[in-house]
Amino acid sequence: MISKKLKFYWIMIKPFQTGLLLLTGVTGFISSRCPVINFGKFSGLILSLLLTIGGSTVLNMVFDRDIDLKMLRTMRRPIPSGKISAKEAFLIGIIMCIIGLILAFSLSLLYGILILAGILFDVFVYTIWLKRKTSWSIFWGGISGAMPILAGRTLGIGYIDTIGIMFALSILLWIPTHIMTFNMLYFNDYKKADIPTFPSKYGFKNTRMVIALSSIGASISVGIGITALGLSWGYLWLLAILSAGLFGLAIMSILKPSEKINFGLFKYASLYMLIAMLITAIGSVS
Amino acid sequence: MKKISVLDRILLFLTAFISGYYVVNGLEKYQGIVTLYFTIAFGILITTVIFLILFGFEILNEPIVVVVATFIPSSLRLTKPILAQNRINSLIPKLLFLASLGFVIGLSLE
Repeated sequence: MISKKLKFYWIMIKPFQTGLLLLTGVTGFISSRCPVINFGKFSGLILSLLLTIGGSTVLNMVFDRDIDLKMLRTMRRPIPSGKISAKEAFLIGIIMCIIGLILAFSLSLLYGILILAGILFDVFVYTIWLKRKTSWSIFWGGISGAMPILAGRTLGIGYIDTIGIMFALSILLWIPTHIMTFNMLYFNDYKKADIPTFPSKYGFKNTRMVIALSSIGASISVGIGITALGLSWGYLWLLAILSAGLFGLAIMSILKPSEKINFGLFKYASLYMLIAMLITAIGSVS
Repeated sequence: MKKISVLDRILLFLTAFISGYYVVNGLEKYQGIVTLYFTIAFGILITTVIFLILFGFEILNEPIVVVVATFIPSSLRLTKPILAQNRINSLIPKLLFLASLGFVIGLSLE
């Protein structure tokens, strides 16, 4: 019974998405080149990020349960399928967020404020307020997604700097690639749920253009951030190579648009961001 | 065309990982034109491998992939004699002309 419940909780925190955002936060922290061996601070960072990202994801699922029920892709999630009640999920999400926030504020005031801003942008501005009203809501979703890396770096250096903002901008620009690809792949689902999306408002062609441009923007931002960090040339070359691949794919998706290339660009952009984070983390400590 | 298997993906991932390692670490020993050739060769290898992992072997049907892939041996071939003889300035012009000639012929045949 308990293991079954835990399995549903695990699904509700979207482990892959939470893991990727956690990685960005940890990377931001490591990029500050502060002593990572500081066990208390480092484990506090991981735990606070895990709890707040996971908690806000659960809260999103609570507020989106009626949408999830209308969409084939999401109707089997624990809340719409009735495996977990909305009340229980709400309680879990709130508890996770509160514990995570207490931990975050105990580590640093500025770090706590950034984490709180991430939750507010994600749950209130994006999910509750704008998601059902405008296709531009993803911009605000992007801001909340950019908070972990900015918060991680801020915790390490003690203040918000340009490098942190560039890293945050790269995540902010990467998020439309992620969401808009899903908007196109599950176009009918979103239409059925009456959610305004870029493809439904501006068409597939324009959406592909936005995805390509935001992918390029994300790679430029992360490139500026890594260059400003002063990593060795080898790491910069590797990033330049991967960026060239991303640029090529983005241009191809504009010139020869197809679902396959578009989905490939989405997967490449996700992999690119993952590798860019690893390059930043490894390059900062080596 | 053969479907890409899990084992294929693992091997391709290892190839990309090793190529990435060479780009990061191999470049610190050399400078100038060698770095450029080295980066071109391993860089194309990395991106090609990632494309293969993401799109499968069907991508090999695209002529551009075949053309771009010829850069890998060409670039590596150019670095080898340079490193071996350590006479970069005297060798490069001759090699560049021959390599470019072969390259243009190859591309036009393609």
